[in-house]
Amino acid sequence: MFNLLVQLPIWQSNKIDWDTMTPALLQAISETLYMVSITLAIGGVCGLILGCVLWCTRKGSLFSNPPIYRVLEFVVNLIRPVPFIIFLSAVQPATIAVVGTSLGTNAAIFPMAIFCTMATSRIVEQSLINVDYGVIEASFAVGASRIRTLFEVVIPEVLPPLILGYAFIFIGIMDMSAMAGTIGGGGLGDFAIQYGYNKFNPVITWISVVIILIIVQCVQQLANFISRKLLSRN
Amino acid sequence: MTQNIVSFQNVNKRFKVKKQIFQAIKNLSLDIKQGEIFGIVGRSGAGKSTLIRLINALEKVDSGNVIVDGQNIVNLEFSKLKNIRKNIGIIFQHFNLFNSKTVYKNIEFPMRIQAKNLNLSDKAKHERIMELIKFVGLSGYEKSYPKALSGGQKQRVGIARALATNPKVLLADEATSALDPETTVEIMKLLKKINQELGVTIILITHTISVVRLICQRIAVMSHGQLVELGSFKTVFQSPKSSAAKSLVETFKILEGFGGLDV
Repeated sequence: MFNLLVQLPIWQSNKIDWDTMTPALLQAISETLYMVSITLAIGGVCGLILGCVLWCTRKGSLFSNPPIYRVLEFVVNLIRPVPFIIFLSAVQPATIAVVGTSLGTNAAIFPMAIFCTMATSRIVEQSLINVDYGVIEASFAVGASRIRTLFEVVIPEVLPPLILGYAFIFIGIMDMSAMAGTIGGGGLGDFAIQYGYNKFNPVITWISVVIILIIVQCVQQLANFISRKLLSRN
Repeated sequence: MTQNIVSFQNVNKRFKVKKQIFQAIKNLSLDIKQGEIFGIVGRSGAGKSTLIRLINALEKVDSGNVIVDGQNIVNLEFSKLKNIRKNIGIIFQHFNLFNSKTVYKNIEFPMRIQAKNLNLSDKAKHERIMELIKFVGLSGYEKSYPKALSGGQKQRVGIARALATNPKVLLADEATSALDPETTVEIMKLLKKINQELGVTIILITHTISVVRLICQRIAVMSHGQLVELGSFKTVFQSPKSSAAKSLVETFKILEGFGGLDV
């Protein structure tokens, strides 16, 4: 019985050819970091803007505008629950129109950035909701405009939870980037499937898991650190 | 004759709460004189907070006029309103400090917003902030964040922030309600000092009647959005005419030990 187990192909294929595997792994890491950072940059900024607009247009908020709020909320709610891999294929025509191709790393970034924008906007909006109205009132009372109140009072007040929110988003983007392989985007997810899963070599898969864990942990710890620094004062 | 710094003329203010219309201020007229400490008392929901928020247009009237420092502030465009707000400071029950800013930056904020109106050099601004910090008794705390301060210290920051733009009027919305009695007295002394040394008119709302007796020259009693009594503490408390004022006087006597709790 034990002999049979040992003879399973999973263990036999453990002999990894590091000469070919190392460059493939390094490329996968760089592809993942590339996709994730570009997505975080685009989606993070767009999400911040969309989230602020969502919060501002809420009933009773700075620029209360229920019709706009309802439209934006509808769009966000429409996209967010779609499983990312389905969304990825659903926006193919748009990806081709914007990126020029629906294959490759850049083609994966487009749907990722849209999805990231939606998720970020919700997290930003939720953080902003927690701002005490009294602080906004205090800002108005000294003559601040609504825009200055938003940028100089409201956003600084929510910075600590916002940074933790972005760490949360980062993990979501890592998750999305693992599906980029399905459209030739490469990355660690693709690496794990291609060289690990498909070739019955779980060690390869585990290596990608460990690398992803390290990346995620680093980002999470950094975010915790910054947030704590900011939180220690408010 | 002393000038009126704030005048309400036939002011009405309604709120819509869950499709029900609630009349917060009903046909109210009132003059507040320059340089006085004016107290507004009344039960919760009587319209006191709404009334003082009409002075700096945090709330807008439905009808009537609000005249501040000779200017009708009803339907003012934002840039003019901003100028008016320079002259009106406000402090709050829960302080409403900017938690992400230091004491220094909290006080600097109104000066930054009103930079054009104040026209101060960086050096003059810095000196003024340090002076204010000293004035409210918080020297050494300029780099602290509000989180690290006690309630009384937070209110001192609130006061310094409200005074930053050199206002003519200071509104105090239950400014001592969240503070212990000793701190309340300290803050009252500070308010009196502001009134006497800086000549700032103070309009304060309070539930603590002893506060009114301590520092207010005149008081107004509000009930259901209306002004039901007006006069000095003595006249109102010696011969209350309205039922609201009578009930307030009763409460005051009980709390001050002139009567028992009959149940």
